[in-house]
Amino acid sequence: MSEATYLEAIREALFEEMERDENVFCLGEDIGAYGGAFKVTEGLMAKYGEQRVIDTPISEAAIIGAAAGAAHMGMRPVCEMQFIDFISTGYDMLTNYVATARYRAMLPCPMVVRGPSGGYVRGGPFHSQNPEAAFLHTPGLKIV
Amino acid sequence: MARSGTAASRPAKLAHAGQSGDLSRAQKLELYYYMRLTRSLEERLVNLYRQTKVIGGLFRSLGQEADAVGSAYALDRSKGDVLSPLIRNLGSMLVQGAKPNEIIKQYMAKGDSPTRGRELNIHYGDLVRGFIGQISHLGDMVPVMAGVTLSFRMRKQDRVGLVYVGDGATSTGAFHEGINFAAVQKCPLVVIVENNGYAYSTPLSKQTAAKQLVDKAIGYGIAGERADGNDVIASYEVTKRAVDRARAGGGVTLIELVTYRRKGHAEHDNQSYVPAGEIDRWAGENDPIDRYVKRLLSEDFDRSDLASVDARVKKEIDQATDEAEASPMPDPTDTLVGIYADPPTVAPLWFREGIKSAVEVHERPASWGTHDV
Repeated sequence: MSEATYLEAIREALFEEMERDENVFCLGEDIGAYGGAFKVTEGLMAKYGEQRVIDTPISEAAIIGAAAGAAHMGMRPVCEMQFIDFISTGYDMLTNYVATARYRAMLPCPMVVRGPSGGYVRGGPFHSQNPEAAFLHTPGLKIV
Repeated sequence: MARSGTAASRPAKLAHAGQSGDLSRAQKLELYYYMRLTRSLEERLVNLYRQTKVIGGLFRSLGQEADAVGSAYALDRSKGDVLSPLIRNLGSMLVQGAKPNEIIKQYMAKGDSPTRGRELNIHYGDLVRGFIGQISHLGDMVPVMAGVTLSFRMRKQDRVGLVYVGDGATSTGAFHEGINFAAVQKCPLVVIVENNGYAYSTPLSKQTAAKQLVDKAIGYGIAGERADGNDVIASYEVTKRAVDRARAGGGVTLIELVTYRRKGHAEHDNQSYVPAGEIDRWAGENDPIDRYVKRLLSEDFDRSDLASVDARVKKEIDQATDEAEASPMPDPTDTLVGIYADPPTVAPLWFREGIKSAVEVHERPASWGTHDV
């Protein structure tokens, strides 16, 4: 079995899924031409174009909300939070809208929100958090 | 202390009355039907509310029926256009295919309501008919509809989305993020700002320093238009232009429809914050249904045409009420279905059959105060 870093494994998975299913697309900040702050999406835009690898404004609520809307219509969006610390600015969209969609309105909402968490990048208090535990208290989200 | 006048203190005087050149006679009558159905259905809900049969609040759109109906009428249901309403857009949902019995069942939290009693009022959606249920957090539907319409663009579908916000929601971060995202992506989206003068008790002057809400379009680099929301034809026409623009690849339009909220935020609200005489002025001078009736009668319609619509509306609402009243309440054990993949095997304490005291202890401890309906 070949060895890969987590980062490489995620990238490989994104390539596989985008190849397999044209409904899969990525959106996030600096993920396209630049390939992402951690280079997880490097090469994706070159292969799949800017229609399916979308560089967004700095708007976590819009990234998560737009992913939800696209997911309702049958797309399979994968959102990148540049650092998972920034998920807090999308907290309302994720907990109130996305997590409740199926229960309250029978709306399918198949989407992924992913991002790097933890320390060791010497980023200080806003680039080092592990906020995932907070979301464990929100039914409707799957935490991996 | 004398109250200062609000931006909403006088009925709007906007330059262009709707022309309605492209609407057939049947369509004009249909607009009247939806406006009348909206108002009469809400009046029926008030009756049910006073009988304590409505669970939760009752949100009226009295005086705003024209903007909801006229704007939604501009969508093309045969192409699969989608809208997301606000709490005062019952009229838009009816245009899009929502049924009176569904609305009444939602308000009564019945077990066979579209959300099985989990959500109330007009908070529900149906992707087949093309409306997406809102949540209470204002502005959140703008990013969601940006995503819905992004999918239309990505799949090269000939579809358009319409999302409603109020004057208050334009102050939220979600509104800003969503409309900006949609503008950059050139999503086929129409954003209607229904300016009814108040967000709960807060007048527009305390919501924004902008002279008019349509000015916000400039900052997003998108088209902006402003129209008389109490003129159903003008509301239709301005929205139709925006829908056509979106469908042709022209991106997002922000439309400000100027109207007035004649009832409180919800039925409990006594509107003590409204300057004296303001509501009466709008009711007397600028009721959207009165205005439309006058217009129809000045064209080639007569009173009997409208009376037959009124009779149809009454019959439909009577039937819907009977059906809703006969519907069962939700099965309590359904509450937890769909929350966890593996639901708890033991029923929660307050659902245990026969233990009424458990409800009193766990659901209504004295320390919570009196909050029973």
